[in-house]
Amino acid sequence: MKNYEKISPIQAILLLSVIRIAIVLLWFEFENQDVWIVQILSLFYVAILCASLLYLGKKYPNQTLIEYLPAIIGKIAAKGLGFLYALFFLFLAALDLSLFDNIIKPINFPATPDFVFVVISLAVCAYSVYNGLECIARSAQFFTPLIFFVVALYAVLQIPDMDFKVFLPILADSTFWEINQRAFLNAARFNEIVVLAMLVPFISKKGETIKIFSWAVITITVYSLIIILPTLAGLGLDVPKKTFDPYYLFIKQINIYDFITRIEFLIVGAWNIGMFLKISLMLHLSITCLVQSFGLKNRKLLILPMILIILIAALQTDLLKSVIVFNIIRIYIPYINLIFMSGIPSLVLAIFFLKNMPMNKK
Amino acid sequence: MTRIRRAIVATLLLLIVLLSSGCWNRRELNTLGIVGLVGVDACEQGITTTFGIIIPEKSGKSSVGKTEAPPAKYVQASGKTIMDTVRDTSLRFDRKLFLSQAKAFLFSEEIARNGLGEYLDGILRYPEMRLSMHLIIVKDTSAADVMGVASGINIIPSAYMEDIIKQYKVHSTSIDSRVLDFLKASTNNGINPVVTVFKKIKKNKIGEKGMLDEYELTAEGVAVFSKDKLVGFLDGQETRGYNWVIGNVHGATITFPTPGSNAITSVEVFNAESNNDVDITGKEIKLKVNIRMNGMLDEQTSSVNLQDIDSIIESVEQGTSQAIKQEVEHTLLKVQKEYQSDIFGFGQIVHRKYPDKWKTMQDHWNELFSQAIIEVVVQAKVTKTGKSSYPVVK
Repeated sequence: MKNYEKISPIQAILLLSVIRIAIVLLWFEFENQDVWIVQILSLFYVAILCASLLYLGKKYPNQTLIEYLPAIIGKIAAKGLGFLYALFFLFLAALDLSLFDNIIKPINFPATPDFVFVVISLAVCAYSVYNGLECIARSAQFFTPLIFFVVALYAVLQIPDMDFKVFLPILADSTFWEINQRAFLNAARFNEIVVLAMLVPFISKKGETIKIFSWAVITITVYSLIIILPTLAGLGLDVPKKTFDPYYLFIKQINIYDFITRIEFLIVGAWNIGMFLKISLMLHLSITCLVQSFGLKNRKLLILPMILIILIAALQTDLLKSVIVFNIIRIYIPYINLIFMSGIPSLVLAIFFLKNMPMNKK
Repeated sequence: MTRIRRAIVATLLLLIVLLSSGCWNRRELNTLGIVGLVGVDACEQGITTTFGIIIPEKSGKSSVGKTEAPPAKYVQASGKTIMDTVRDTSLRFDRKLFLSQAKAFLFSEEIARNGLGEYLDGILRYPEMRLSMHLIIVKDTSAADVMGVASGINIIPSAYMEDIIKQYKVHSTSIDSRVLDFLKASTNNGINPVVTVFKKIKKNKIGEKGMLDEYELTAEGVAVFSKDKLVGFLDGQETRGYNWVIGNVHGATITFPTPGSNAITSVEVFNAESNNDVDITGKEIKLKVNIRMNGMLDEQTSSVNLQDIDSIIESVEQGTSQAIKQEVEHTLLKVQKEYQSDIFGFGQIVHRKYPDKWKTMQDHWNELFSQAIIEVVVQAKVTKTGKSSYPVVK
């Protein structure tokens, strides 16, 4: 058995939760007042979409997705898929960096050149990737509760300005098909299952994969609701559609007796830490995919090339443009996720079952 | 740790210290022009924007009784958009404008009649702007004209205006409208926005020459909008009628003829709440307003002895209910017939109660609203009689 770094189940849950909530803090999408039903209903679709990877994770509790692929689909195909997964994680890292840049730059750093922002962000992430998964997981364990506390605090402070009548009438403006379609697409954003598939052997307690994922999904759903519902109750359903960052707009309104005001700086801290953890983890997993696919010895040698690829992608393409990044996140990400979290794993699982059929065993 | 490694780590740490001491976008306080008010008027080029900039060293001193220079300076620029004019001020003003502390955005009546939407777009986009800023329509004069008036204790015009706006809870004849409220209402099909109104009025001369403020501002009334376009105004009493309907009366004095006499009675409102509903039967739409109010007898000019407490209080309560009812019905009718703009949010109730019908109604709701039947029920309770049961008048 290989000597893996070790993270605890609670670190895994917090890490999986924070990488999703970090995105919801920056950006979320909704159609109408039934958004809360969509969020809850999507749990059902998450279970369906993630079933293949969860099953495979249970069958191979001591290996990452990339490590058990050769045993099922053969070495060459596994190398190809490993490379694709590496690209997937690298793409997510670049996309998250771009999203972060597009939200925080107009607010805090309008005159800061993009390359300064990108270089500094990537340098910090590269350092944590250099120190390994345990470092990223420990950071998540320390910072995630603080981020959750800030989110809960904002929700409580805005209670006087909330009008929950905006969520009425229930199910009147959405058909059964529309609600399910939105829930399905929301479930397709839960690419954390792919992350977990890469973390399984690193988790100190074996056989807890489903439990860890369930807790992470519940935490994500609860905190997504704590972010989205107060925002809509405070801003109404129309204004949030006109801005990229409704949550920030919402917390800028906090004013308790002219005494507690302008406390949105806390969210900037949460953004920074959340995105630092997310980009670091995506980079780490991308490198892990390459290392495990091609049997490389030293993962640290890959950090710099990966950073350079993101740097070039960010600065030499249109990735940092608002319209591009928000279109990708809004329209394309669910479908890209579906390929990697459900499409490929389902095919792999089908091959696994075919190979393990009694007649083939003979 | 090798020497080279130590040197690299030390250099990096020093670099972090240097970078952490300030940011790329640092703007020192002494380079900023802190804007307190923004006034927008129409002009030939498009708009003229007036920025009221606070002079920090003046703002801490009171000028009551003195003829000191005002604590604010004003700079104007003309252009096509608000952001265009913000940049343009740098040609004539020695500080870069800082809009994050702006208390209010003022628009002239002319601008408001053409629609505020295009100007609020800049406020929503620009990171320095806050949607919690007060939104004000200036009646009968230009926005720039009212910006220098500060005839209260607070000598900074922006703070003076904000203090006046916040006092709406005392009288309920005005409202506190913010940019966010306007955006929420103007983008929703079931409700239209209302906005705070400011008027500049000449003060009566009281006291010695040199101690006078020639003008003062009044926030009485509201501006009624249909979507983002101004369609008219409500006066103070009508505004209180509006506040009764939306449950926004926090304090007021209701004055009405004492039942059964020629005298006048005043009742102070302790608290009030409203419960609105809409009934649709066939083609008939009924707007139902149910108001409950609790108050105290404040003053009466009659000789009615309140020791006959039950019957007298009952008649005071009836008089109060009647006065509120008249106020509310008058406001509802005026808004319905004159402005045809649902500023009360009855459309939202229809959406919630009759979601299927709303789909066909929402595009012409204001027209349907203007033809709807009104039903107002007021239940006034007078639970206190002040410090006395006996009237002064015998």
